Amino acid sequence: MSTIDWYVLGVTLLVIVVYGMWKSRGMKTTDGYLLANKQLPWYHVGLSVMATQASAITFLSAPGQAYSDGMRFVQFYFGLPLAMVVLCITFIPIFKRLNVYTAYEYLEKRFDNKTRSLTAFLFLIQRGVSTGITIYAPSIVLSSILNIDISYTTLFIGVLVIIYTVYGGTKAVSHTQLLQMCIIFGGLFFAAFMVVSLLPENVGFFDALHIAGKMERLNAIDTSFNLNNRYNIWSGLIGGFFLQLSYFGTDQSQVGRYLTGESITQSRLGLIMNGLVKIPMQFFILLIGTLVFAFYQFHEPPIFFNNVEVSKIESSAFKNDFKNLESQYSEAHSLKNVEVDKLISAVQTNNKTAIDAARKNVQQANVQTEKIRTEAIGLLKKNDKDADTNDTNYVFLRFVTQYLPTGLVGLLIAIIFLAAMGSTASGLNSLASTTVVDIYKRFLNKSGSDSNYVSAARWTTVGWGIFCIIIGLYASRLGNLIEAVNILGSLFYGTILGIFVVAFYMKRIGGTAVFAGALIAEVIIVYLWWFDITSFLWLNPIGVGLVMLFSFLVQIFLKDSDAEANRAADF
Amino acid sequence: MQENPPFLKTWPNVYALVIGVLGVIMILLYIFTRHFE
Repeated sequence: MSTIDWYVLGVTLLVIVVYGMWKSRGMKTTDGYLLANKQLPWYHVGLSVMATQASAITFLSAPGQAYSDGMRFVQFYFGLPLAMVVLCITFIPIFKRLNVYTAYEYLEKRFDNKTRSLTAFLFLIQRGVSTGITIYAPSIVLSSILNIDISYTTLFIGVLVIIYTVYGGTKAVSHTQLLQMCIIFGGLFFAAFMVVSLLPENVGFFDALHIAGKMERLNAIDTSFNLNNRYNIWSGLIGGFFLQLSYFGTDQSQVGRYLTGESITQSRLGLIMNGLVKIPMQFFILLIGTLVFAFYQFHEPPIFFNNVEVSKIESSAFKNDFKNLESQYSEAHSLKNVEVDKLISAVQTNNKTAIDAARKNVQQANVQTEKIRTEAIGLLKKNDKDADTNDTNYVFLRFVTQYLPTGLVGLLIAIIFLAAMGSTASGLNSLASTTVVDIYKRFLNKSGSDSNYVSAARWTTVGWGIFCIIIGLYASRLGNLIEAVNILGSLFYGTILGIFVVAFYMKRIGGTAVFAGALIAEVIIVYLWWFDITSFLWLNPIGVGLVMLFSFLVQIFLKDSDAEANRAADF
Repeated sequence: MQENPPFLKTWPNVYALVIGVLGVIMILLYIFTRHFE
C-alpha cells in the first residue's frame, strides 16, 4: 500500500473515533449511556441495525462468494423483511411499553428471575466469544494484505473500538455506525464504478453482466425445493425468517440498537428501513463480486488469491510443480480469453446460435482452468496439511490492492476496518448492558446511584473488550474457529428464541415450566450436536420447537398451579 | 403514525407495503436471473 493509502486509512479511522466521542460527550446517566436517551430518529436506528449485522466478513466474503459461486447467497435474506414485520408487531411495542434496557429484563416481568438470568447467561457466552471472532476474522485477511502480524491488527481494531465505546456508550456506537455506513456505501459505489471502468473498451456494463450470467454467476433466484441446497428461495424465506427473527428479536446487540428509537414509530420505521434496504444492499455487494469475475475473464487472475499460502509453497520442495501449474493456468486462461471474446461478439450482435455455441466453449475452457486450479490447491495441501485452501475472502481485496487507484485502496481497506469496528462496538455495548442490567444491578448492587451504574457499564465494556481481544488473539493460534462460533450460536439461539416465543404466544405457560423446558431443550440440543445427529443449522428451529413442547408438557404436569402463569396476562 | 405520509396511515398498510416490496424484489431478481443466463 502506498503512503497516500496509509494516510487515507489513518485519517478515516481517526475521524470516525473522534466523531463518535464528540457526538456522545457528557454521557452521565444510565438512560444516556445504555439507550442514547432514546432520542434517535428512524434512519439512525435503521443504519445502526444494518451496521451491527454487516461485519467485515460481509464485505470481504460476499464479493468473493459471488466470484466463485454466483449471486444465490442473496436469497438468504428473503426472510428478513418478514421477520422485521413480526418484530414491529410483537417485540417492539412490548419492549418499549415495559421501558426495558435489555430484552432479558422483559423475561423477568413475564416469567421470573431465573428465566431472565438463564437467557442472559446464554447470551453472554455466545456473544462474548462471537464478538472476539468478529475482530479476529477480518484480521486474518487484513494482516495478509497489509503484511502486518495478525496480533497487531486484532489489537488495533479491539483497542480503537474500546476507546469510543467506553467513552460514549450506545450513543457513540450509533453515531459512529451512521458515519461508517455512509462511508461504506460511498466506497462501494466508487469501487463498482471503478470495476466497470477497468473492463476492456469494447465491453460495457451489460456485456459484463451477460458474460457473468452465461457462466452461471447471476443465479440470484433458485426456485427448486431441495433440502441439501443451502440457498434457494424456500430456505431463504423459511430458514432465513427464523434465523433473522431470533437474531433481531433476542440478541441484545440488535435489541439495544432499536430500543434507542425516540418512539415506537421511530424504532419500527428503523427496522422497516432495514427490511427494505438489506436485500438491495446485499445484491449490490454480490454484484460487485460478479463484476470482478467478469473483469478476470479479460485479465489473468492469480491461480490462488491468498498470497501467504502461495509464498509458502514457493519456498518449498513443490515450487517447481507449482510454477509449472501456474504456466499451464496462464495458457488455459489465454485460450479461454479467445472464447470469451467470441461470446462478447455474439452477445453484441444478439446472435442466439452463436451465443449458445460460444457459451459452451467458454464453459469448457472454464472447466480446464478450474481443473488446473484444483490441482494447485491440492499441491498447497500436500505441502502443508494445515494450509487454508479457501481463498474466497481474499478475492476482492486482492483485486482492490492490485488494480484500484491510490487513495481508493486505503478507503476500501478502511471500510473493512469500519465494518469490523461497527459490529464489534455493538457486541461490546450489548455485553456491557446485559452484564450491568441483568447481573450487576439485579444481584450485586440493587440500589446503586445512576452514576454508579454508568461507571459499572464503562468498566464492564473495558472488561469485555479485553476478553474479546484475548479470544481474537487465541483464535489466531487455532484452526477454523469461525465455524465453531457459528455452531456455538446455533447451540443457544434456538433455546433463547424458544423462550421468547413461549413468552409472547403461549400465555398459559409460567416461569418454572419455561425454565425447565429450556434446560431440557438445551440438553437435547447439546446431545444432538455432540453425537452429530443433525447439521448445526437445524439446531435453531429444533431448539425453538423443543422449548415450546417441554414448557407445555411441564406446565401440564404442574396442573396450572404455577401462579406465575397468571402474570402472562399482564405482558 | 402522524409522522408518516398520508398513504401510510396505518401500520398494516406499512407491513403490506414491505411484503409487497419483497414480492416485487423477488420477481425482479427472477427476471434478472433469466435475462442474463
